[in-house]
Amino acid sequence: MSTMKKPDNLVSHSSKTKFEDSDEHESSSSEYVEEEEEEEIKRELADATFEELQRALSDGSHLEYRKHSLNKKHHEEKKPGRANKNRPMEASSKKPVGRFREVVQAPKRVIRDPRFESLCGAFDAKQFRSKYNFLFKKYDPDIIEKERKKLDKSKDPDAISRFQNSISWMRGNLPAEREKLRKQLAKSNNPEVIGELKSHINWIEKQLKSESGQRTDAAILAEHKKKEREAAKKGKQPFYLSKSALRKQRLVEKYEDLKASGKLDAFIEKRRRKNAAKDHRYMPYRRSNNHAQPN
Amino acid sequence: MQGERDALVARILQEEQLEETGRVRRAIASRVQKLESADEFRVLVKHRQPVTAVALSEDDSKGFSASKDGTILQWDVVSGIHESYRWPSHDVLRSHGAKDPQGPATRHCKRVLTLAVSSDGRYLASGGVDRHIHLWDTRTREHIRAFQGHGGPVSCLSFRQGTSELFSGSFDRTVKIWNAEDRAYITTLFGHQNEILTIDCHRKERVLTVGRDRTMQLFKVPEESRLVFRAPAFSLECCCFVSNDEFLSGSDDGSIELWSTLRKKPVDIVKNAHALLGANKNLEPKNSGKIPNGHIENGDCGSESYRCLSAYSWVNSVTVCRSSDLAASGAGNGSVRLWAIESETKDIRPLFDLPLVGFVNSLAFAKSGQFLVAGVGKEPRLGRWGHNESAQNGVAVYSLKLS
Repeated sequence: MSTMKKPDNLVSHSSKTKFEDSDEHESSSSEYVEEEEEEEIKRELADATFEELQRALSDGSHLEYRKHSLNKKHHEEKKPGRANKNRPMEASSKKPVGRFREVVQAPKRVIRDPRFESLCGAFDAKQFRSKYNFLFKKYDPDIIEKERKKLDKSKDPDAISRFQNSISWMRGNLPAEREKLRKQLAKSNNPEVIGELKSHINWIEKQLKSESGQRTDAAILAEHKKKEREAAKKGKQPFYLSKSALRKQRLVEKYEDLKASGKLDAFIEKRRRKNAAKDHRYMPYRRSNNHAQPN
Repeated sequence: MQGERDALVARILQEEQLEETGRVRRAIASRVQKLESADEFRVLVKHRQPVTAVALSEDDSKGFSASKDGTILQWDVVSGIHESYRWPSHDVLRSHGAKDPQGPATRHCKRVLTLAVSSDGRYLASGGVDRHIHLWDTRTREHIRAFQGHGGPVSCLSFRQGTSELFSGSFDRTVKIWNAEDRAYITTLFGHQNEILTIDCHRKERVLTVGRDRTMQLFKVPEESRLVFRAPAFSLECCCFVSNDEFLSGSDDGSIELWSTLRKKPVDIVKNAHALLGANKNLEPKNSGKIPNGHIENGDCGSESYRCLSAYSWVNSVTVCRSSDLAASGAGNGSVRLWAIESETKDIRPLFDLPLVGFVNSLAFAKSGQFLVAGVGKEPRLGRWGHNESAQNGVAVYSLKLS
């Protein structure tokens, strides 16, 4: 059943080549060279003792597989998929398998960051602000009442869902949440809870402040753009608004607002006091007996 | 008259052929009679250390057993007279190319984990911790050859029926094919991702292996492919062919599974096949003979159900009477269980429990179905996860009464 395989390790220089059975004849361009090598190996084998031959034959540490004598077909491509998914999986028995295996089947968590995902599209600040304006606006209770009345009256399911949505975000947006938290803060006694609520309120206030700042900036930019567009039509080269100019304009607008509401004096006074306090550190500190004359 | 006799002979021969090749199953299970109180396993041969493997020759006259200290005994089934196999010297082993054990390995290198005897009864193969497969001649009890090549302890061996082809599985996750007649190594089969624990082969060139990676693999050698069967959790300890398309396996959660080549999951599972009774009630270890002093069950002792996670419940061995529907399984819980494999309903039906104290590391049915041989020890086959002091290390035989 088994043919006498030429042991590879006896042949010193051609240890990498594999010699096939005589029945499996693979055509190659270097047939003549192979024949020569075979002759050489045959000569070497004639010198080897039976013991060496036997030892090489029974050595199981070879991992290069010798073609099994009964195996005539070559299954080099992967077998096509099984007939039925309930059948056992079929795989090749000649390729070593790694030790790593999945012990617990856990679903792989796909992290999708909307900032970097192409499906979410590019961020457009203007669009964002126009769509999510409701989050930051302060709604009066009577407006909410009006919406509720509209909801009660409407019959159309689309309209109902729209009114429900609008009421829910009018009641649940950031200023409304802040009010709720303030009420909770007034009620609670637990210092941990108070701390948490305070930080939450702080966060909301930060969001609102930054949003209002962004809104004014956007308004300034929009105005500037409009002016430039008008000017461009008349032939002037359009200019982008630089950051310093934006800041100056912001200050000007703030000044106008304060003047309108009458708080300008208070604001300027506060500013002056703060600057004075800061400048105070540059003043030379007095010596203990300044006016005392040495006698 | 002559014609009738010829026809009868032809029919008998045909039946035998069908049984041999595994296409027809003898219905033995239904014929097994209920055991009486006097019937028990009787110890045939004693060993010093736990028996790891038993093998029976095809003619049911000779048996072989190996234990953890490296003694291999050949005994006569009826009389129990045994002879031992002498281990070859280091020089002989070196001449075969076997590597010398070094340092602390010298103490354990002779530990034999598995045995296999060829169909013609000429060759006995043994494999153990020294990573070599030793081939012995059964008639002269001499060592023929040591095959080296495995990277880890050889844990299981099996001869292909009717040939001298030997399949070996080892802790290095490979299955190697050897030819005993030619003393040659043929090839290696890959597929397992963890240690291979048991191997089985019948007439066809198909090898069934089971391993700690929770899979059972059926290697189709001529096609160079394998079928992968996945067990529900827990590692599989033992396996055997029922027929060419059906297999049995025992796992270390105490359950026995019946598989078919058409399903990737078991067709039938018997849970808690070897439950350790009295695990919850046993709080004073001194009184109970089963669990010795100081030993803690490493499973959960729930109040209602016994969880079979302790080493006493691992199904160490499972075997099937050749080409029949009678199966037996053994663990450390104190009894060997007989099962009937139904062919139409494809399920495992329990028959009887035969009491046998100790870890049943190996089972073998006689080919005729007349008796069952069990290799028993105080410790499990591959390690020392449990210890049963009241067990007797040796080979026990039980004669089955068939109606």
